[in-house]
Amino acid sequence: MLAVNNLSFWYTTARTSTIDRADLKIQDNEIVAIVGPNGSGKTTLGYCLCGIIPHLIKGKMEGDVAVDGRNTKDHPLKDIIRDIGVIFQDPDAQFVTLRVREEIAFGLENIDLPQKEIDARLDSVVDRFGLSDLLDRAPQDLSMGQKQKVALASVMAMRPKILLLDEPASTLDPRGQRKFLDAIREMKDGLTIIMLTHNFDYVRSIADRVIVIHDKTVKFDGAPDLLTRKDVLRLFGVNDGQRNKSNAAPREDALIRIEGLSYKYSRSHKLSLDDVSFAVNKGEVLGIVGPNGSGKSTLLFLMHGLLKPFRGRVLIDGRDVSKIDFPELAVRQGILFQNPNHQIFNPTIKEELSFGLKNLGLGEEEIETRIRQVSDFLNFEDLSRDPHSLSYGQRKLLSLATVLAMNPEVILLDEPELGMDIGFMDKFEKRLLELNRSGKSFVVASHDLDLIEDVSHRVLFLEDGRVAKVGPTQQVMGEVRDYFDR
Amino acid sequence: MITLIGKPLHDVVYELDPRVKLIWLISCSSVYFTDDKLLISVITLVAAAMFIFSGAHKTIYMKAFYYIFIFLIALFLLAMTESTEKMNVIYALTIISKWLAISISSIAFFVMTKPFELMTALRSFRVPEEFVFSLGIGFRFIPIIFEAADKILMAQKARGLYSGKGFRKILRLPMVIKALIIPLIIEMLNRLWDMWLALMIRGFDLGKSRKRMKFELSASNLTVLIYSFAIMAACAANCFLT
Repeated sequence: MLAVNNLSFWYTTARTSTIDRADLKIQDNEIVAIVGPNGSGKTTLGYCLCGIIPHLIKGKMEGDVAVDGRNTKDHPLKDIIRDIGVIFQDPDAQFVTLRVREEIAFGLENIDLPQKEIDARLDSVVDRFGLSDLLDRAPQDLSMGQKQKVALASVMAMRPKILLLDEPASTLDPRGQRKFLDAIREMKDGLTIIMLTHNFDYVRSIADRVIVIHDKTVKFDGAPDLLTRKDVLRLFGVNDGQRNKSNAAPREDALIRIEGLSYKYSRSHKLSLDDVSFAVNKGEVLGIVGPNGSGKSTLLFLMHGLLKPFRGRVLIDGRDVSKIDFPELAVRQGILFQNPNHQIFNPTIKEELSFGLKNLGLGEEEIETRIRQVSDFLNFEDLSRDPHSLSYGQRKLLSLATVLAMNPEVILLDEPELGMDIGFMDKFEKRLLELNRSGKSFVVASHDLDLIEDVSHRVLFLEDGRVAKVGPTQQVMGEVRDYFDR
Repeated sequence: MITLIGKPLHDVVYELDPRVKLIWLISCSSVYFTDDKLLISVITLVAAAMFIFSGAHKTIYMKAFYYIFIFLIALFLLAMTESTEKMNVIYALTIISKWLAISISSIAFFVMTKPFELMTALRSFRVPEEFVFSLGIGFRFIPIIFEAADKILMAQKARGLYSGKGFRKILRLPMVIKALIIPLIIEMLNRLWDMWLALMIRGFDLGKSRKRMKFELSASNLTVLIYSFAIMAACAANCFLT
């Protein structure tokens, strides 16, 4: 059993606690989902459960965490991790070796198992997860689903009693997520599973119990059937539980035309995009869906002239995008990247917001006005704050605000839901639809089928780099859902 | 396609034991210590054959070879003018053959040896685990750094960073570097932190010895081993006897 008693934790640099007097008990063989919005303290709680806090991360810890009656404060980390296996959000970040075989054996070698036992356990997990063809491959070269399997196999080879999953499968497409849940279901016997996530919809079908944490403490603890999406939104601090729906009508004239677009990455033998053609109309929200690796991000990068097409072209208002300078392009079209860390480099939020505007050559007064316009959306009180000190969700908001400040006609969004909770997504959807009503066009590439269904006028379904289907949302989404349910 | 015992030579060189490949690379480097023209020719020709069989000429490494080639031409011209011997062309050819053997054998080695194979080979030679593991982490990080740098540059370009041409572009260079370096360092620190946590949560102990590879004495391994030791012995003899 895992018991948390009156737990509070303060990071060394923080003035306030990240967890405040949390109490919970997790019984053996339970599947428990700990659900909370961005910045609610889920990951910190996870660190406390597996002993990372207090052994690797220092700070002020009050209260106790006991794994099978052993207090994590009193036992060395090596003893605790024999019972707890941890899988982080990004499997890539936890691969430490250069071959799948070594990755699986890595933990086993660390706990001093004899070679014969290591080989036996390796064979057992390889059979269980069907990894025999991947053993000699580099983990980083695998597909996202395969990476998750390898990460799971590496941990399960250690035969833990408790499995802790931090935002499991958040980077997978709906089919990959379902397969991952199936794998978890199969492992259920004799294992306690704790899933830390902000996505309640994802875990409700598998969890025996849901614990909602918000404002640093437990707000709900019970069966998932007792909660609706609306309840979760309310517990997350979002009052309005209604779904947002697009009601603006797009015009018929095309703003962007993609003609016979093909692309091939230099290391690949295969075309990542193959003869893709479509148009984005003025005032339209076009959703792009497809499985992992189908070419969604590549398509957005090509649309913004960040990659050079192998064949074909992208036209904005009849002009080839490759012939437009980036500052000029930034006024017409903005792009939000998946990872906000890739763009933030200025010392203050204000400078970050003004960076793109200065690149456009705008005057100080105009820059101030534009920053004021987007700061209500940001809801940051102090614009002189270091953006690196913001939470992941807040940094993503800031990235979006830097794009909005440029006031482009079209905005390309690459998986805006990645790492964001439903509270943010609710706010984001509302803002997107509001901007759409004022005439802005959007191209949204996403794995979140609900988001796509809510905001898009039309949907383009990409499969293996080709357009498998394009049409009005109602027509296409049925087929898309069938595809991911298969 | 050239085959050996029914297998394409390309596959044979790839299937060599990494330790054998490493010994072969060391034997190629011993060309530096000899002046025997026959020996130099043999080593260079075998290195060239390995270069071709490994398929290195079809990879991105060929770009590196073009730079080496320019360097070798310069070296050839230098050796020609520097030599006081009558046969200065032969002398210059000898010098560049030595460098050619070393450079193309190194390229071939890195093309046909995966990073984990190199680490296993080093472990077998009892190289300290601290060095081998750090090398592994280094190899693990190289593609991550390139990928992150690529994405960061794209993100900054999308914000109009590359405005201006010619002199204005040069003026903006410090800003470009700052916009690339700061997110890259932060990304690397985040990655390192995640990797450190992953290492610790799996009970990592740097001093612990890892599994060593079993050595299979196949015909191809044995042939390359005999050749490598013969070459090293010949080079040593030539160096000490003359």
